[in-house]
Amino acid sequence: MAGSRTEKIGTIFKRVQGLLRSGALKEADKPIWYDVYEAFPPKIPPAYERIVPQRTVPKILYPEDIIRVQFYKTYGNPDVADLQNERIKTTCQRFVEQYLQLMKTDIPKENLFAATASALKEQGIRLRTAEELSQPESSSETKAAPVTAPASNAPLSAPSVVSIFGEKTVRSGQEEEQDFIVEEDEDKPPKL
Amino acid sequence: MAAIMLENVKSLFSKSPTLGKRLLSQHCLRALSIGTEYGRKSPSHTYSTGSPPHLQKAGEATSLVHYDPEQESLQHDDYFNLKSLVSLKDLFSARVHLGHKAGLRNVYMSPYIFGSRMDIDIIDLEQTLPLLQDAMNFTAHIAYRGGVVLFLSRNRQMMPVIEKAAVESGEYSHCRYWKGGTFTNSAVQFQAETRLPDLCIFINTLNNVFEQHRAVVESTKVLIPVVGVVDTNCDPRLITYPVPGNDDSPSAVNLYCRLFKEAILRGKAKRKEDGLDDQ
Repeated sequence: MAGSRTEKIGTIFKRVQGLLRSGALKEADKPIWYDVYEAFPPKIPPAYERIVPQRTVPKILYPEDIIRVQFYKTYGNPDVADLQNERIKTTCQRFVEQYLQLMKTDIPKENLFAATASALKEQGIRLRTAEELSQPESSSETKAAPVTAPASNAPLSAPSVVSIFGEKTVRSGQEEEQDFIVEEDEDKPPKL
Repeated sequence: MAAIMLENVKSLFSKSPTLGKRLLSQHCLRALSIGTEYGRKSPSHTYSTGSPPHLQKAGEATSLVHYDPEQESLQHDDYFNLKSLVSLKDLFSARVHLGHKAGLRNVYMSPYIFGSRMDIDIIDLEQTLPLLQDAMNFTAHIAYRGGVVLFLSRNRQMMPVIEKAAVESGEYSHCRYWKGGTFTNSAVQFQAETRLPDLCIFINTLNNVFEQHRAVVESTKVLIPVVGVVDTNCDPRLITYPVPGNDDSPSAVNLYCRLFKEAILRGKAKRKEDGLDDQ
């Protein structure tokens, strides 16, 4: 098709418009997109030459980010998080929610963090600071048993797969296993 | 309402022209007055002095012999009913909002960015949604007019998905190395006059060395409109209908392919329905 190949001048619409106006392109030969573009023009004309936007992109920050920082500095990351599962909240998120709840009570601000930690520990959530984790387990036996269970008892107190990944994940895993068993039962040679 | 009436009139025209005319003057006065612009200009009529103006207009409309569905489709805001196909939640759960690190940002993308979280740009989905709907509408209109659509991408992992979408929508794809001049020098490269596409859909506007895909400039040179998904590190200037969004995640690419495929299929279905295929 006839047309200027200078892609940096004007827009494709303007260039076709010019051809139609001058008669270089007959009305019958105009591209099929021309009428559609005219009826539904883009919000910003697709011109190469345009003013550089002078916008500073804002930083996304939340008030509870400060609590999160303090939490991770103190406890590290205690979770194995499944990003697909939105039903299970991370320990950090539960901490933040508890903290915001306690903020409404008359606990002084400097004690809020400790108060939240103890409130969560009462709910049975295991919170251990980085120092506690690095110490040998015998030294922390003085504390409550479920919080610092020795390695042999670990499976009992450790969070189960269901609590981390949700029921759905576990069930789907079992189904896969069953499928696999069924396939094995059929007397077929394994595919290689 | 007007659209429904027009449909009725159209079907009546094909069955019995006289009945169509009678109905026309009785019920569909306002509806058809829209169509007069595209019909043949009527010779001057004389009206009885007492008839109200809208009836006089209808008298003009009775001489309508040519009905152009292509022009009529442009009167609708959403002729292919595509707006209900995607919601903000769909975009969010497909991770369309995730951009690149702030250091990779293209300045021309900054109006489309919601903010920067921990140095990762987050795309403003409230802007993406209408832009995506516009792009889908344009795509459907091109398919409706019998245009050829070409899907392009240089993302190797998503190549099968994009090629499958092109096959399923009965269109074309080019996901391999782009030889310079494929559009601009096509007659020499293919040793014959070549039918170029009417619309290029870029699922990823960058090539495999993270520079702009050469087909973007080539399409613009040969006056082919471009629909493209632009991430925060892409240049949206030459993209006719840019869709700001994540172009790397498989979930997002699957969503784009599904939506554009559906838009094309709906455009083609409408084309069949309106009898444009027979012409």
